[in-house]
Amino acid sequence: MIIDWFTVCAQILNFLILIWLLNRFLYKPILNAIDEREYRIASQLEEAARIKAEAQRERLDFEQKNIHFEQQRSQQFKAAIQHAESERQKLIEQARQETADLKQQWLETLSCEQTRLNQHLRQRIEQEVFNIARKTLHDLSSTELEDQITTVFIHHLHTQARQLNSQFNTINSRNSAQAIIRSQFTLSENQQSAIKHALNDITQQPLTAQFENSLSRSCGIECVIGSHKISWTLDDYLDSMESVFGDLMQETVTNNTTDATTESANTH
Amino acid sequence: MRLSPDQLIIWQYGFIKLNSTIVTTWLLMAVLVIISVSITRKLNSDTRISRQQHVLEVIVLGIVKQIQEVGLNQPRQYLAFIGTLFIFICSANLCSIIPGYDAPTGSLSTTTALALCVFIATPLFGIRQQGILGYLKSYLQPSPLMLPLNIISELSRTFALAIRLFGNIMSGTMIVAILLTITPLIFPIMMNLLGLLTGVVQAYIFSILATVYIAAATSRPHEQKT
Repeated sequence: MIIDWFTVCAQILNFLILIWLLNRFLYKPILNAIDEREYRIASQLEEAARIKAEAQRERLDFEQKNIHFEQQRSQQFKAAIQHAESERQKLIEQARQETADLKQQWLETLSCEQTRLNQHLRQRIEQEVFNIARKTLHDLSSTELEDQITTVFIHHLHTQARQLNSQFNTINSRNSAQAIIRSQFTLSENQQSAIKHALNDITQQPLTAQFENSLSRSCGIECVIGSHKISWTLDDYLDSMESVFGDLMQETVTNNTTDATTESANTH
Repeated sequence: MRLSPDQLIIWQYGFIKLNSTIVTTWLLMAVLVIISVSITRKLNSDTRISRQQHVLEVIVLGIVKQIQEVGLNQPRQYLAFIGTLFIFICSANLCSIIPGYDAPTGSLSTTTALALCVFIATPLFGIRQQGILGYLKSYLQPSPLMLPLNIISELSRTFALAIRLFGNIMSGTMIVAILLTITPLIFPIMMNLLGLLTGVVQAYIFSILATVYIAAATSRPHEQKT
């Protein structure tokens, strides 16, 4: 018999001990480690799923916020455009107003300048005409211009003698008559005597004549008796010439203004 | 020629004796426990584990999977018994590559002891699972007339377990010994390699048969029909 029963019993005991030892040192630790790892992986997967769900929820929340933000931005953008448009219209209107004011101011300045230029030109022309006329008259006929002006003035007095008489009659009924003769140049004794003599001939009355060299505006002589005034000056000629110059300047300014307005419209 | 390592007695006092089978078994037990302790002492439950732990996990989970595939729904309850059977027989057979080593499984006493363990454990698991009456009823299935045959079947399969493992391992050892005297060069090596394969296969067969017996004892009669 090759079965040794003591060995059989010993091997049964050994096998039972080995079962206990391996269960204690091998199976349980290994299975516990595997279970713990599975639990940890399951926890991590659960945590990952939770984080994923939370991320999904945050993503949806973010998308909704993004949509809301986009709508708000669009509304604000529209409001800004409308505000900018109204501000633009307001600025354009303000610019137009300022342009109109500047234009008005410019026109007024231009008018003043034109007036001043006209006056200056008128004085210069008058002076030059006076000088040219004097020289020309002296060269051609050896006659002084002042004498000729005095002659023309006396002729003018005779022309308006009827009106002058009635004025004298009205004055004499109240006060003594006095005539004020104003000239740009100084009248000589002869010229004063001629004028005085002419006034006496026309009025047939004693007349007090007062000569003043105070006519600075234009070349000529004027006689003031009471409220009546008789004069001969270059004013009429100069007024006509000034009118021609004024029309010419006005036409030039109008053309320049039209060009400027057209250019401004093309720029806008 | 020694047919069994039992015949190599190292120490004896009366009927108590230490033969090669017992001593080799103790050495194997010590090696297995030392290896297990050395690896499981540094177990890591993280996803990064050592190679040794990985090997042990593969072995343990492989055994669990095999038990489950046989039909035991709670394999961890039977892991200690069936897993120890497989690991002990397999390591005992594989160590036959060591010169001068006598495999304990080459002893009919050892295989008888293991077969007796299976013979005792099977009804214990069956009774724990379905109660003593339920287990005893299984001997009357499918007909009470089958009771003697069922009892003979229990005894004969236990005897077959012991003889099968003993015969395979002992024959392998004997063949290598005989070939060493005839052709001492190439053939013993080939037969030794074949013996390693046979040893692993026999460990698998022994364990899987024990699992099948336990599964048959723990399953309900209607489950057996299905």
